[in-house]
Amino acid sequence: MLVYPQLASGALAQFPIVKHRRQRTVVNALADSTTIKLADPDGAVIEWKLTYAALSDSEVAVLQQFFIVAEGSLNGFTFLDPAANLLSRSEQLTDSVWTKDPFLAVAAGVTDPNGSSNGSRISNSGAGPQTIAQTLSAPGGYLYCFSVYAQSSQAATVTLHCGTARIGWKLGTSWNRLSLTGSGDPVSQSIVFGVELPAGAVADIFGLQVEPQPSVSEYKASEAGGVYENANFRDDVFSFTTTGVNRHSAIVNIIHANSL
Amino acid sequence: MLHSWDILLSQMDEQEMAEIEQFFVDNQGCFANFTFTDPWDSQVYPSCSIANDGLGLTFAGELRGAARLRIVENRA
Repeated sequence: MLVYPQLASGALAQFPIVKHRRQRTVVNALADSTTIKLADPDGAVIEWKLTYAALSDSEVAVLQQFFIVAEGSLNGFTFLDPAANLLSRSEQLTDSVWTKDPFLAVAAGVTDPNGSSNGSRISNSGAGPQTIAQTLSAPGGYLYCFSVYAQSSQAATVTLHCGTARIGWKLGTSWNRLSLTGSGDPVSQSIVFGVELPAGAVADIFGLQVEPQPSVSEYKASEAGGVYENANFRDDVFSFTTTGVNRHSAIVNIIHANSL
Repeated sequence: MLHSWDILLSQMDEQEMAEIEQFFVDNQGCFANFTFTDPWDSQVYPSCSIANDGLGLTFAGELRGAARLRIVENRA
Protein backbone atom coordinates (compact mmCIF):
# COMPACT_ATOMS: atom_id res chain seq x y z
CA MET A 1 0.00 0.00 0.00
CA LEU A 2 1.44 3.35 -1.05
CA VAL A 3 0.72 6.03 1.54
CA TYR A 4 1.56 9.72 1.36
CA PRO A 5 4.44 10.27 3.81
CA GLN A 6 4.54 12.14 7.08
CA LEU A 7 7.31 14.63 7.77
CA ALA A 8 10.00 13.96 10.36
CA SER A 9 7.93 15.93 12.89
CA GLY A 10 5.04 13.50 12.45
CA ALA A 11 2.95 16.15 10.72
CA LEU A 12 1.62 15.36 7.29
CA ALA A 13 1.46 18.93 6.03
CA GLN A 14 2.19 22.50 6.97
CA PHE A 15 0.02 25.59 6.91
CA PRO A 16 -1.29 26.90 4.61
CA ILE A 17 -3.37 24.01 3.34
CA VAL A 18 -5.83 24.69 0.56
CA LYS A 19 -8.61 22.18 -0.01
CA HIS A 20 -10.94 22.45 -2.94
CA ARG A 21 -14.08 20.36 -3.37
CA ARG A 22 -15.92 20.07 -6.65
CA GLN A 23 -19.25 18.39 -7.19
CA ARG A 24 -20.92 17.78 -10.53
CA THR A 25 -24.52 18.74 -11.14
CA VAL A 26 -26.28 18.52 -14.48
CA VAL A 27 -28.55 21.55 -14.78
CA ASN A 28 -31.31 21.89 -17.36
CA ALA A 29 -32.33 25.58 -17.50
CA LEU A 30 -35.84 25.96 -18.80
CA ALA A 31 -37.31 28.90 -20.68
CA ASP A 32 -39.27 30.11 -17.65
CA SER A 33 -36.02 30.42 -15.63
CA THR A 34 -36.71 27.35 -13.57
CA THR A 35 -34.17 24.55 -13.52
CA ILE A 36 -34.13 20.80 -13.36
CA LYS A 37 -31.06 19.44 -11.60
CA LEU A 38 -29.46 16.03 -11.47
CA ALA A 39 -26.68 15.33 -9.00
CA ASP A 40 -23.75 13.19 -10.11
CA PRO A 41 -21.91 12.01 -6.96
CA ASP A 42 -19.39 10.05 -9.03
CA GLY A 43 -18.16 13.33 -10.46
CA ALA A 44 -17.00 14.64 -7.07
CA VAL A 45 -13.35 15.65 -6.86
CA ILE A 46 -11.22 16.89 -3.94
CA GLU A 47 -7.93 18.66 -4.44
CA TRP A 48 -5.35 19.59 -1.81
CA LYS A 49 -2.57 22.09 -2.29
CA LEU A 50 0.13 21.43 0.27
CA THR A 51 2.72 24.17 0.69
CA TYR A 52 5.90 23.15 2.46
CA ALA A 53 8.63 25.40 3.83
CA ALA A 54 11.85 24.77 5.75
CA LEU A 55 11.98 21.10 4.82
CA SER A 56 15.20 19.31 5.71
CA ASP A 57 17.29 17.43 3.16
CA SER A 58 15.87 14.12 4.36
CA GLU A 59 12.26 15.36 4.31
CA VAL A 60 12.43 16.65 0.76
CA ALA A 61 14.17 13.42 -0.26
CA VAL A 62 11.28 11.40 1.18
CA LEU A 63 8.76 13.45 -0.80
CA GLN A 64 10.83 13.16 -3.94
CA GLN A 65 11.26 9.41 -3.53
CA PHE A 66 7.54 8.98 -2.93
CA PHE A 67 6.80 10.92 -6.12
CA ILE A 68 9.18 8.60 -8.03
CA VAL A 69 7.60 5.45 -6.56
CA ALA A 70 4.11 6.72 -7.43
CA GLU A 71 5.41 7.51 -10.93
CA GLY A 72 3.93 10.97 -10.79
CA SER A 73 0.21 10.99 -11.38
CA LEU A 74 0.13 7.38 -12.60
CA ASN A 75 -0.28 5.32 -9.44
CA GLY A 76 -2.80 5.88 -6.69
CA PHE A 77 -1.97 6.05 -3.01
CA THR A 78 -3.70 6.49 0.31
CA PHE A 79 -3.86 10.08 1.50
CA LEU A 80 -4.72 11.05 5.06
CA ASP A 81 -6.45 14.43 4.96
CA PRO A 82 -4.45 16.70 7.29
CA ALA A 83 -7.47 19.00 7.69
CA ALA A 84 -9.98 16.33 8.66
CA ASN A 85 -10.94 13.90 11.37
CA LEU A 86 -9.85 10.51 10.04
CA LEU A 87 -12.64 8.67 11.87
CA SER A 88 -15.98 8.11 10.15
CA ARG A 89 -19.26 9.07 11.82
CA SER A 90 -17.63 10.51 14.88
CA GLU A 91 -20.98 11.40 16.43
CA GLN A 92 -22.91 8.26 15.47
CA LEU A 93 -21.40 5.71 17.80
CA THR A 94 -24.27 3.29 17.16
CA ASP A 95 -23.27 3.13 13.47
CA SER A 96 -21.81 -0.09 12.12
CA VAL A 97 -18.43 1.54 11.45
CA TRP A 98 -17.91 1.29 15.20
CA THR A 99 -17.07 -2.10 16.65
CA LYS A 100 -18.57 -2.64 20.09
CA ASP A 101 -17.87 -5.46 22.49
CA PRO A 102 -21.02 -7.40 23.40
CA PHE A 103 -21.60 -6.04 26.89
CA LEU A 104 -21.02 -2.42 25.96
CA ALA A 105 -24.24 -0.41 25.53
CA VAL A 106 -24.26 2.92 23.68
CA ALA A 107 -27.02 5.50 24.15
CA ALA A 108 -27.02 8.65 22.03
CA GLY A 109 -28.45 12.06 22.90
CA VAL A 110 -26.22 13.06 25.78
CA THR A 111 -25.58 16.79 26.16
CA ASP A 112 -22.08 17.44 24.81
CA PRO A 113 -19.57 20.16 25.80
CA ASN A 114 -21.02 22.46 23.12
CA GLY A 115 -24.52 22.24 24.59
CA SER A 116 -25.88 20.09 21.78
CA SER A 117 -27.04 16.50 22.09
CA ASN A 118 -24.29 14.78 20.16
CA GLY A 119 -22.65 13.01 23.08
CA SER A 120 -23.11 9.33 23.90
CA ARG A 121 -23.33 7.35 27.14
CA ILE A 122 -21.43 4.09 27.16
CA SER A 123 -22.02 1.55 29.89
CA ASN A 124 -20.39 -1.77 30.52
CA SER A 125 -22.65 -4.44 32.00
CA GLY A 126 -20.04 -7.16 31.67
CA ALA A 127 -17.54 -8.61 34.09
CA GLY A 128 -14.50 -7.47 32.13
CA PRO A 129 -13.35 -4.48 30.14
CA GLN A 130 -15.34 -3.64 27.01
CA THR A 131 -14.29 -1.48 24.08
CA ILE A 132 -15.83 0.63 21.35
CA ALA A 133 -13.40 1.04 18.47
CA GLN A 134 -12.98 1.90 14.82
CA THR A 135 -10.41 0.42 12.44
CA LEU A 136 -8.90 2.67 9.80
CA SER A 137 -7.30 1.53 6.56
CA ALA A 138 -4.22 3.56 7.31
CA PRO A 139 -0.60 2.59 7.89
CA GLY A 140 0.10 1.25 11.36
CA GLY A 141 3.53 2.82 11.50
CA TYR A 142 2.39 6.42 11.20
CA LEU A 143 2.03 8.73 14.15
CA TYR A 144 -1.55 9.54 15.15
CA CYS A 145 -3.23 11.61 17.79
CA PHE A 146 -6.46 10.12 19.17
CA SER A 147 -8.64 12.38 21.30
CA VAL A 148 -12.02 12.22 22.99
CA TYR A 149 -14.08 14.26 25.44
CA ALA A 150 -15.21 12.23 28.44
CA GLN A 151 -16.93 12.58 31.79
CA SER A 152 -18.60 10.36 34.33
CA SER A 153 -20.93 11.01 37.23
CA GLN A 154 -19.36 8.13 39.13
CA ALA A 155 -15.76 7.22 39.84
CA ALA A 156 -14.66 5.68 36.56
CA THR A 157 -11.67 5.35 34.32
CA VAL A 158 -11.38 4.91 30.58
CA THR A 159 -8.45 3.58 28.60
CA LEU A 160 -7.69 5.03 25.20
CA HIS A 161 -6.28 2.74 22.53
CA CYS A 162 -4.23 4.29 19.74
CA GLY A 163 -2.75 1.38 17.84
CA THR A 164 -0.44 -0.31 20.33
CA ALA A 165 -0.39 2.68 22.67
CA ARG A 166 -2.61 2.60 25.76
CA ILE A 167 -3.30 5.10 28.49
CA GLY A 168 -5.82 5.13 31.33
CA TRP A 169 -7.61 8.26 32.51
CA LYS A 170 -9.56 8.87 35.68
CA LEU A 171 -12.70 10.73 34.68
CA GLY A 172 -14.13 13.81 36.36
CA THR A 173 -17.73 14.87 36.62
CA SER A 174 -17.31 17.54 33.92
CA TRP A 175 -16.12 17.20 30.35
CA ASN A 176 -12.38 16.86 29.83
CA ARG A 177 -10.55 16.27 26.58
CA LEU A 178 -8.26 13.25 26.69
CA SER A 179 -5.66 12.55 24.04
CA LEU A 180 -3.10 9.92 23.23
CA THR A 181 -0.39 9.98 20.59
CA GLY A 182 0.92 6.72 19.24
CA SER A 183 1.18 4.32 16.37
CA GLY A 184 0.50 0.67 15.67
CA ASP A 185 2.20 -2.29 14.10
CA PRO A 186 4.63 -0.76 11.59
CA VAL A 187 3.95 -3.43 8.97
CA SER A 188 0.16 -3.36 9.33
CA GLN A 189 -2.04 -1.60 6.79
CA SER A 190 -4.73 -0.85 9.34
CA ILE A 191 -4.86 0.57 12.82
CA VAL A 192 -7.45 0.49 15.60
CA PHE A 193 -8.55 3.39 17.80
CA GLY A 194 -10.87 2.78 20.70
CA VAL A 195 -12.16 3.60 24.16
CA GLU A 196 -12.14 0.86 26.78
CA LEU A 197 -14.44 0.91 29.79
CA PRO A 198 -13.86 -1.29 32.87
CA ALA A 199 -16.50 -3.66 34.21
CA GLY A 200 -19.60 -1.97 35.56
CA ALA A 201 -18.52 1.53 34.57
CA VAL A 202 -20.58 4.22 32.85
CA ALA A 203 -19.12 7.21 31.01
CA ASP A 204 -20.21 9.95 28.61
CA ILE A 205 -18.03 10.42 25.55
CA PHE A 206 -18.06 12.88 22.67
CA GLY A 207 -15.88 14.12 19.87
CA LEU A 208 -13.75 11.12 19.04
CA GLN A 209 -11.06 12.26 16.64
CA VAL A 210 -7.95 10.85 14.97
CA GLU A 211 -5.42 13.06 13.24
CA PRO A 212 -2.24 12.09 11.36
CA GLN A 213 -0.04 14.28 13.52
CA PRO A 214 1.53 14.21 16.98
CA SER A 215 -0.69 16.80 18.69
CA VAL A 216 -4.38 17.36 19.09
CA SER A 217 -6.23 20.11 17.24
CA GLU A 218 -9.78 21.35 17.50
CA TYR A 219 -12.47 18.69 17.20
CA LYS A 220 -14.10 18.32 13.79
CA ALA A 221 -17.29 16.29 13.47
CA SER A 222 -16.98 13.77 10.68
CA GLU A 223 -19.24 11.78 8.39
CA ALA A 224 -17.11 10.01 5.78
CA GLY A 225 -13.75 10.38 7.52
CA GLY A 226 -10.48 11.68 6.13
CA VAL A 227 -8.83 8.53 4.74
CA TYR A 228 -8.77 8.74 0.95
CA GLU A 229 -7.68 5.61 -0.86
CA ASN A 230 -6.61 5.93 -4.47
CA ALA A 231 -5.58 9.57 -4.40
CA ASN A 232 -3.06 10.74 -6.98
CA PHE A 233 -0.54 13.45 -7.58
CA ARG A 234 -2.26 15.97 -9.80
CA ASP A 235 0.94 16.70 -11.73
CA ASP A 236 3.73 14.72 -13.34
CA VAL A 237 6.32 17.17 -12.09
CA PHE A 238 7.76 17.47 -8.58
CA SER A 239 9.86 20.55 -8.03
CA PHE A 240 11.38 22.04 -4.92
CA THR A 241 13.37 25.16 -4.16
CA THR A 242 16.44 25.14 -1.95
CA THR A 243 16.33 28.27 0.18
CA GLY A 244 19.36 27.57 2.34
CA VAL A 245 21.51 24.86 3.84
CA ASN A 246 19.20 21.97 4.68
CA ARG A 247 16.16 24.14 3.92
CA HIS A 248 13.80 23.51 1.02
CA SER A 249 10.32 24.53 0.00
CA ALA A 250 7.86 22.73 -2.24
CA ILE A 251 4.25 22.74 -3.36
CA VAL A 252 2.41 19.45 -3.85
CA ASN A 253 -1.01 19.10 -5.45
CA ILE A 254 -3.02 15.97 -4.66
CA ILE A 255 -6.31 14.96 -6.18
CA HIS A 256 -8.97 12.41 -5.28
CA ALA A 257 -11.82 11.64 -7.66
CA ASN A 258 -14.74 9.38 -6.77
CA SER A 259 -14.82 8.14 -10.36
CA LEU A 260 -11.21 6.87 -10.35
CA MET B 1 -36.85 39.46 -8.13
CA LEU B 2 -34.41 36.75 -7.10
CA HIS B 3 -31.67 37.34 -4.58
CA SER B 4 -28.09 36.17 -4.25
CA TRP B 5 -25.57 36.50 -1.46
CA ASP B 6 -21.77 36.35 -1.50
CA ILE B 7 -20.65 35.04 1.86
CA LEU B 8 -17.00 35.59 2.69
CA LEU B 9 -15.92 33.76 5.81
CA SER B 10 -12.58 34.28 7.53
CA GLN B 11 -10.93 33.70 10.92
CA MET B 12 -12.83 30.44 11.16
CA ASP B 13 -11.78 27.63 13.46
CA GLU B 14 -11.44 24.05 12.22
CA GLN B 15 -14.85 23.00 13.50
CA GLU B 16 -16.51 25.83 11.57
CA MET B 17 -14.52 24.91 8.46
CA ALA B 18 -15.62 21.31 8.82
CA GLU B 19 -19.25 22.38 9.17
CA ILE B 20 -19.09 24.51 6.00
CA GLU B 21 -17.47 21.64 4.12
CA GLN B 22 -20.06 19.15 5.36
CA PHE B 23 -22.87 21.54 4.40
CA PHE B 24 -21.44 21.70 0.88
CA VAL B 25 -21.15 17.91 0.72
CA ASP B 26 -24.67 17.38 2.11
CA ASN B 27 -26.06 19.71 -0.54
CA GLN B 28 -24.01 18.00 -3.28
CA GLY B 29 -22.77 21.36 -4.48
CA CYS B 30 -25.49 23.32 -6.23
CA PHE B 31 -27.91 20.40 -6.37
CA ALA B 32 -30.00 20.65 -3.21
CA ASN B 33 -32.29 23.38 -1.91
CA PHE B 34 -32.28 24.80 1.58
CA THR B 35 -33.80 27.60 3.57
CA PHE B 36 -31.59 30.66 3.94
CA THR B 37 -32.06 33.53 6.35
CA ASP B 38 -30.78 36.84 5.03
CA PRO B 39 -28.29 38.10 7.63
CA TRP B 40 -29.19 41.72 6.83
CA ASP B 41 -32.89 41.69 7.61
CA SER B 42 -33.54 38.13 8.89
CA GLN B 43 -36.01 37.47 6.09
CA VAL B 44 -36.34 33.76 5.39
CA TYR B 45 -36.01 32.55 1.80
CA PRO B 46 -37.38 29.01 1.59
CA SER B 47 -35.71 27.82 -1.62
CA CYS B 48 -32.04 28.64 -2.07
CA SER B 49 -29.00 26.77 -3.37
CA ILE B 50 -25.26 27.08 -3.45
CA ALA B 51 -24.53 28.85 -6.73
CA ASN B 52 -21.86 26.53 -8.09
CA ASP B 53 -20.25 23.14 -7.68
CA GLY B 54 -16.93 24.33 -6.24
CA LEU B 55 -15.88 25.14 -2.69
CA GLY B 56 -12.44 26.44 -1.74
CA LEU B 57 -11.24 26.10 1.85
CA THR B 58 -8.01 27.74 2.96
CA PHE B 59 -6.39 26.70 6.23
CA ALA B 60 -3.83 29.45 6.79
CA GLY B 61 -3.23 28.45 10.39
CA GLU B 62 -5.06 27.60 13.58
CA LEU B 63 -8.24 29.72 13.83
CA ARG B 64 -7.37 31.20 10.45
CA GLY B 65 -9.64 29.32 8.08
CA ALA B 66 -11.32 31.04 5.16
CA ALA B 67 -14.01 30.07 2.68
CA ARG B 68 -16.35 31.72 0.22
CA LEU B 69 -19.85 30.69 -0.75
CA ARG B 70 -22.35 32.19 -3.13
CA ILE B 71 -25.99 31.48 -2.30
CA VAL B 72 -28.76 32.02 -4.85
CA GLU B 73 -32.49 32.11 -4.44
CA ASN B 74 -34.34 29.70 -6.71
CA ARG B 75 -37.44 30.48 -8.70
CA ALA B 76 -40.35 28.80 -6.97
